Amino acid sequence: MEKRDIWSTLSRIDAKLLYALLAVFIIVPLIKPLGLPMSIPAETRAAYDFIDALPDGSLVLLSVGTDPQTEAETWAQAIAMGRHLLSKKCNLVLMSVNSVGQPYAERLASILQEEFGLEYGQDICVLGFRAGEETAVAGFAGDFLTLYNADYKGAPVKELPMLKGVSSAADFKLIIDYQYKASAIWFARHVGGPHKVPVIAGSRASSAPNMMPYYASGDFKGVLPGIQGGAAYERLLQRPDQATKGLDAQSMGLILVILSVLIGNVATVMGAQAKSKKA
Amino acid sequence: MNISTELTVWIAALMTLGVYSFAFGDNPVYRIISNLFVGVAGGHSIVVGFLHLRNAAWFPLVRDAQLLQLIPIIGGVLLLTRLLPDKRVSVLGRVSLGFMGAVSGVVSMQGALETNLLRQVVATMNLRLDNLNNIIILVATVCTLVYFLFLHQGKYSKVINPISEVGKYAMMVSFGYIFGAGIAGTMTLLVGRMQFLVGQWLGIGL
Repeated sequence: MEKRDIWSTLSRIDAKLLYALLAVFIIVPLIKPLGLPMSIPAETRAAYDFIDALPDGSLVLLSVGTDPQTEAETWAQAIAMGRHLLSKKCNLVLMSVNSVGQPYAERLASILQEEFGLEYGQDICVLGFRAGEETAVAGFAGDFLTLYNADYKGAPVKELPMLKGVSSAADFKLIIDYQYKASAIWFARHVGGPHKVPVIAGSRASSAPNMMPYYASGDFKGVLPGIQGGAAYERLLQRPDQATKGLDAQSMGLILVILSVLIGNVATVMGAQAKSKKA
Repeated sequence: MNISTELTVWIAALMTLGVYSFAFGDNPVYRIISNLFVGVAGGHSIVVGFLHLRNAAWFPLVRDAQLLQLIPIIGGVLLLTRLLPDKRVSVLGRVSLGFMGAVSGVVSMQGALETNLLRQVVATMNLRLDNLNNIIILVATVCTLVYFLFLHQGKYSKVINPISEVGKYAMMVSFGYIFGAGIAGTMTLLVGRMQFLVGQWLGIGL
């Protein structure tokens, strides 16, 4: 009778208790980092090595598709890779293929400008948002200066010193895309293939499996999968930041989920067996 | 602890807690905040759309006399006719819809054949079978493709059935991985909000 009560209790744990445990499991590592072991995915290391091998002063496009849903995963990637690019004195052009990504592009530019003392128009610029999603990317590939004739402030792009002499998408040495829908694949299709511009994908964890075939085929030079990719990149830079702290919390949360699933399933099976024995 | 004094941080924090109150059941606070979010998101889209239309089409037409901008403007107006009850007028919206569908289709196809198919096939053909991972990839790819061959009956079944079974299990493993990655992504959303609440709002630890 006692064993049955235990299985019955375990299989009927109140969801509010699990929510409270989840909150504790996540908040504790945020306050006191646990330093859980972390592996660096091969595709993240490939992205790091590719950027490290870029010539100083290269022109790089950052497509910031971050929105509130993906911010927790791709924002830390954007900050870490932005720091790496600027340590190589790269010139950064920011744009976005979604309307919500535009404020994130502006915020990223503002953070990097302040940290590295950059001059707008000389070292970094924000081209803003153009509607059309994949069509906008195809337009960028086909006639970049006509589609992006002005930056987000309305200043003519041709007057920006860093873009003098830039006539097409092929002038970019690298494109890094922070996921909005399948934006990295759009860039690989329209810019990476025809213009042979390398593409690196910063993606959500749930989309990373879809990106791997493109990494395997060489269309992507690297992939950063979710918060793990961001944390791995921070470790490679030897500059732990938000992603590293968040990864511990995510790991603890997932451990609780796994334990809950296992306990629930064991309790259900054992409870059913106890019931059938009694019957 | 260094609690934030910024109004925007407090608003975001209280709204986050209001949304999480759903854990205790549906309640008016949650409903108000979720409806507010829908409204703000819709309003933001309208403003961005208006500014984009103004900067990309209206100003070039009016200030720079680029008469070609009339074409997308008229196309956009025709699209809006879909909202009208009179079918004799709303049918005009099909012109814009058809154009948009055709352009989207062509743009998607451009490069898709090479990037999505040919380069994937070439990469799989060129796999070096000198490590277990590559062998698994090749076997799983071939078996999964065989699964979709509808030749399970008759004289081919003894050969194809076992291979397609392997393909079925390979797909199950990959779907499990995708599902697990989805859960990890959802967990990251929660972690991100907790980082905001603990770090930016309460100023603890971060």
